[in-house]
Amino acid sequence: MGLNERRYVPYAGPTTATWSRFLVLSRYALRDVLRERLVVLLLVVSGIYPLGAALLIYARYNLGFLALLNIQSADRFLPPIGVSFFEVLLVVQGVLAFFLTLFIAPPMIARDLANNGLALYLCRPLSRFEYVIGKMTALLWLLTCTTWLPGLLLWSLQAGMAGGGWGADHLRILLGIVVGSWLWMMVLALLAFAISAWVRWKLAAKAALLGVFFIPSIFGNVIDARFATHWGRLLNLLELMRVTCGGLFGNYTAGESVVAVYSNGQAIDVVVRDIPQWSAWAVLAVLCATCVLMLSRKVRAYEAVRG
Amino acid sequence: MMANHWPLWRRQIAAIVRLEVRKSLFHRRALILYLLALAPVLLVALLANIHPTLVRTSAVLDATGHYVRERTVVQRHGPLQDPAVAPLVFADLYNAMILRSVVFFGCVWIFMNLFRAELVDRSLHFYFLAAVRREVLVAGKFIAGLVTALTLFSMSTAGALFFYYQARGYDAAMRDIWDGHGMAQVFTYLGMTWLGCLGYGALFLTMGLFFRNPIVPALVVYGWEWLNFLLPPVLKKISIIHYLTSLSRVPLPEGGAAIVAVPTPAYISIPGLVVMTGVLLYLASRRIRSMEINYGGEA
Repeated sequence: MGLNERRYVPYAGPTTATWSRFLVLSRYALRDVLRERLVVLLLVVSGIYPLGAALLIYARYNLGFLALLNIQSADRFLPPIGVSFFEVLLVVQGVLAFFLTLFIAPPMIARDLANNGLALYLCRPLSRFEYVIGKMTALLWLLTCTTWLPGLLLWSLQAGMAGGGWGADHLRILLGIVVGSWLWMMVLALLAFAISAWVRWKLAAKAALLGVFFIPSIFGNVIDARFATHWGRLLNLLELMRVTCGGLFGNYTAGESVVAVYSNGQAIDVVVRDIPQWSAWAVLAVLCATCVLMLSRKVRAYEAVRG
Repeated sequence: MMANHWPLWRRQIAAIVRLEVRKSLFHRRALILYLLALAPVLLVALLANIHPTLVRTSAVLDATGHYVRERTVVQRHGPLQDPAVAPLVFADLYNAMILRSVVFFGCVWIFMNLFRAELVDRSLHFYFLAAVRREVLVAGKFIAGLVTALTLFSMSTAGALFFYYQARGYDAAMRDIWDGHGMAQVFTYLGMTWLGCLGYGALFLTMGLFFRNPIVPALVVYGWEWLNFLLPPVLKKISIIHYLTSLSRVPLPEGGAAIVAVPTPAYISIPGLVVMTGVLLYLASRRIRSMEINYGGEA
């Protein structure tokens, strides 16, 4: 072909379907994340507790194994497999999911924003929403491996080994595992992304995320102790998760507890009511809405900086 | 004859401090510090001025000890008004909120930013190209961070103390400050804040120079400091919080699981923290001598 015949020819090969374009971003984000040794280490660590739990479930229904450990009665020596067992699993895995988010999420979005790289994404057929979802999907994949997937596997193992309709009788646990995990995953992902988008620096975003997790909970504890109330728990993210997940598992009732307070030099016992479930859901909803608002303000290709 | 460099170094340090304090106190990044410093003041102010109503019920018994009826008692609860428990309540508030939260996280933010923020902004090479010894740069930046931390967290402590005394009324507060142990207490709390800024500041400045990702070591230090009450006495000494709480005039109950250790006397605690700061700054100075800038990995 002569040089004078060369001209622009548009790409005619197969294109990625519009609905799945955001997955391209998550594929590359996942590849970058899994290069970090710390992330791989955290993923391995997050498998330890479910593995131990699986061994426990296996041991309960295996007479040979019980005999090997010289255990006469499984009920006396091994913890019961019920709502509390799966609730504890969710809390432990939830804490690990937080640390995973702490190390994964901030670099994903802060680098693009700090280096004005967002324009390079958004000049392609990708919307701002798809950009955020694409990045978030990578994080959610990893959090899935930490939270509801092991929970689901353990529930299936227990249902299979217990038999006798255990699975059908305990569908509420399954609901708690899946919905509770997704709730926690979305809260973590939105919070981490919103902070990273505002701070635009991964180290500062990590510090801020850590601060958001720890500082309000300390202040909440102080409010609870000094004002003889439990409303301070609304500042504690982990407590919010415990209340909402407890509700999903059908294991939470806003009961009353006795708190000792000092008044006129005397210690008196005061009955304090636990926070109602709706308040925990409301705080999480407000938190998520605020994060979405922050993201929509900050995830833009260009920003006019005044002053 | 050796030239006397001190006047030049002093001028250089002063210039760096002026520049850095402006950046630390008036940059957008400082907003989070103001909020952090304000939080305990607001909480103590609330505690001083809002008295929740406590309703309790108790059984009324007759002379023979038999139940007659239930009695409902309504009390206004104001722990900071009660001189018997107020010092303990404030010591608890100060320990949990100011020392372990505000001062700790504030110092993480201020001192890790001193060098890391320059790397992110790609401006550290301007300092390195200037005719300033790197040790002088470390000293200048540390003093600037210290000025920022001391200004904010001293105000936070003073604000909390103001509302602590305000809760008891003007006359009682003045009596306590001038005739009682109030003034010594005020200076003890301020001194603990200052020493906390000094110790944590030096630690996090050094960490910021040694680790590319200082969040992990900061998290480890946070855990270590929080779990200090569980540690055996020998290990307690390898922490900053032990020396700070040893200075407190009000001994705090640490809970049933705590391992009790004898508080380190002030004549060891204070010089100990100062010496530790010196050692950490020396390490930071050694580190920065061989530091090479690589902006590529920072964002």
